Amino acid sequence: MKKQAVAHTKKFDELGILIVMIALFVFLAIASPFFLKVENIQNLLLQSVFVMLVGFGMMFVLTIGGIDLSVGSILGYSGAVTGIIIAAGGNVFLGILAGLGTGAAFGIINGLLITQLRIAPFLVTFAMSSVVRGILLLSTTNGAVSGFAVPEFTYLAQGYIIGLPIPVFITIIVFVILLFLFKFTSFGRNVTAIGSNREVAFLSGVSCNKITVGVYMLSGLLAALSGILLAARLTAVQSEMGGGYEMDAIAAAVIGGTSMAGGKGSIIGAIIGAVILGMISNGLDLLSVNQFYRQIIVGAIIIIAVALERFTSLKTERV
Amino acid sequence: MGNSGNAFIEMTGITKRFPGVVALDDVSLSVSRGEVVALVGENGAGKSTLMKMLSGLYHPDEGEIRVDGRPVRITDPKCAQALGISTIFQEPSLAPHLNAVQNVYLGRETQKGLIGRAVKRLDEKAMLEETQKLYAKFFPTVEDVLIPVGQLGALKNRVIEIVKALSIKCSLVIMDEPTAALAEHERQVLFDFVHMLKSQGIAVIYITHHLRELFGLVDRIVVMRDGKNVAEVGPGDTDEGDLVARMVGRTITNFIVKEDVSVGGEILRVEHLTRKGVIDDVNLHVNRGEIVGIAGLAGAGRTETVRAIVGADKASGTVSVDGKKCRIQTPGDAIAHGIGMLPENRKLQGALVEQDVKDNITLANLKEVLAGNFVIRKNKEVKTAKEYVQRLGVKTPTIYQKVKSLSGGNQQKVILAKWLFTKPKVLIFDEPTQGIDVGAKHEIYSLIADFVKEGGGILLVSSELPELMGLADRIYVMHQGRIVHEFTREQATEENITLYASGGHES
Repeated sequence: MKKQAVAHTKKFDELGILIVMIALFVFLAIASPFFLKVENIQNLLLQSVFVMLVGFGMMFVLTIGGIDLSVGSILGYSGAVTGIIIAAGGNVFLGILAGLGTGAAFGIINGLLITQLRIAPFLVTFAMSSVVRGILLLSTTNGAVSGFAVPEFTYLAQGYIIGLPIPVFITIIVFVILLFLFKFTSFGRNVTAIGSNREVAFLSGVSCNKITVGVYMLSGLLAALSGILLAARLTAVQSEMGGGYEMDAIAAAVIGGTSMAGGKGSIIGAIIGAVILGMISNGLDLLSVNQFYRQIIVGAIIIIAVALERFTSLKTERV
Repeated sequence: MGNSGNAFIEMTGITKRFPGVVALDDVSLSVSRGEVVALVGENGAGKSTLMKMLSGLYHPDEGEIRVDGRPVRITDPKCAQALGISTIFQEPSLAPHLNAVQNVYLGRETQKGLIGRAVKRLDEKAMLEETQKLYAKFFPTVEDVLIPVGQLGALKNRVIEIVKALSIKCSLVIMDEPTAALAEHERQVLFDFVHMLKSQGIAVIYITHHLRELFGLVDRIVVMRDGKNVAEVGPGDTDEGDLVARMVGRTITNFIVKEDVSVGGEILRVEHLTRKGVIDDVNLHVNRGEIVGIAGLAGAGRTETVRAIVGADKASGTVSVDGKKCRIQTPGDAIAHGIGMLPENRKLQGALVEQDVKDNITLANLKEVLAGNFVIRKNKEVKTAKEYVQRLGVKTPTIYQKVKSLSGGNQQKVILAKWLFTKPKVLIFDEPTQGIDVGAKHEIYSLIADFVKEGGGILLVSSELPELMGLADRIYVMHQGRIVHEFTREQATEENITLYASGGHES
């Protein structure tokens, strides 16, 4: 009896959605002869990691009970900052650092507005999204940011380490760090606690404001990282870069079992979510189906994933 | 059972199984019009499950429900309403931003034609008049009906719920812990309402943990234990002790044990604590080994006082621990100085109900299980959680169980474990036994006693005077944000505490 209960709680939460991913994988492998080709799989992973990185940040934000709609704009503008510095002859390393700093700074501003002025995260980040996009538009009035495609920088997107595209390799490292941060540190534990019930966490002495600011900073930082890698891949930053990424990031997190109500999140789930989104795009390409179907399929999968999660958690609830 | 001929509701042979448990086993209950029946039992005895069948939330696996002698199937809450069954839940179920009229008519607003019959608008006037008419039965003045109910007190909220029930033309009102948030004198008002319902021929099922309330209020007491009927008695043929014995299946003697603990030097001193409009110049102290009570009516500022002490709300004044002034601006600071507070609402303020027992126990002192200042040492954390679960006798299959699946008493023990793990010098309890069954109450009391025996100090806020008088060495009485009197254990009586709490004083 006791053993059973342990097994129950230690069960693999992401199992349901993993099955969905495998089913999709098997389906595509059968439907298209090109799907299993190494180049395609590499390409699929490469396409997925940009959303995945942003999705990791979104996972933290949703788990603390917030939302970050500014990540798409932050992604675009941070990429532009890095590009502008490199194009002006600045050091590549410095450019990257400045891009990351830009993302983190906007994240910190989000966090401070939310905790100090007590404005709802939806509104703060919605407004911030508009502000940052506006700044990006201003910096691209003379056309897209370009001229930064020096080999040291584009290598970031085009190089390979142990057979993996560098962005994929970086994402794996980030994943390991974040998994550790989320599961094995006081920061991760307190994020879950605050999202579960802020008042309880506060009365238990958790520094809610500090941690909230930290989470939005992390979200901005990851969006910036994604934006810099994307800039290296595209070799130009258009004013619209990153538009809609916030929605894909939310989708990746939610498909992976992160609760919109806070208190429950999964990093592995966010990976699965982002890969599913990537597979849908990739599959539609391979099968030469109109990409507009992507939206419909993504919507349907979100509903299925959430319903699946609800169904399994209801079943285990009444023990 | 009994007068089956004219019963309004008759439930017979009700059985309900959940995976792994038989929640109800061949239970019967009948209520006639104009009769008040009390349903008592420990948490988990099956009272709520039984009542949820009458409100259409659960359906019996076996057994029959008859309304006015006719067998019925209560499929959902709407169906229960149509049958004249109305439930007032333990947790307030009013929308706080709406006023009384809007709440009473929520979801079934009266409408009238605006353009022909096709386009309708709300008939505000008709709803207001009807509400006022019902309201007038309880209150001579009716100005409150247009104020958002969130701004009214607990008693008025209860009354609005009763008015709402009556407006549905119900024949049976189920009241689940209706006095939970009410002060002593407000309870009396509520009892008058129950009598009024009775005189109007309405049947009432009254669920409570406050057994004292039943005498003089109810006609019959049905006792449940472990999902079965165990007794049905008239209030004249029993007393509190007898009921408790039937509920728990054993005799509990010396319900509150006051152990002899030698009182030492001062640990906590609070001076000039003030929060504008809420608490005014509160001064108090707690000594080693001492249990100090704070009595007062709802709204007297007791909860606000203890929240201000631990820095949950901003206030001016000083707090000293062991004679040294402390800068306490957040509950985190209070913990660092050895003060812990168990807040009044377990689910909303006390425990992370969606998280497991282990995470809850270590929440307030996570740094104790960290390696360095960041990384959680899983082994140490698990060991700590297991140790506290065992020490406090928390009934849970494992430390990985979500807290929401535990009973109220065990939830409170998990919260207490969390605070004991912060190694506090002073623990502040705000309504520690609200909604907890008798057996668990007893255990909480002995845990409190253990804490003071080891030299801790306790500040205890409670609306239950027997609890306060049974446990406390000294009692402060608050009224309108001020401490108006201090009693020693010997001086305190229910009468004189109530007198000061309601603004009077001995002549």
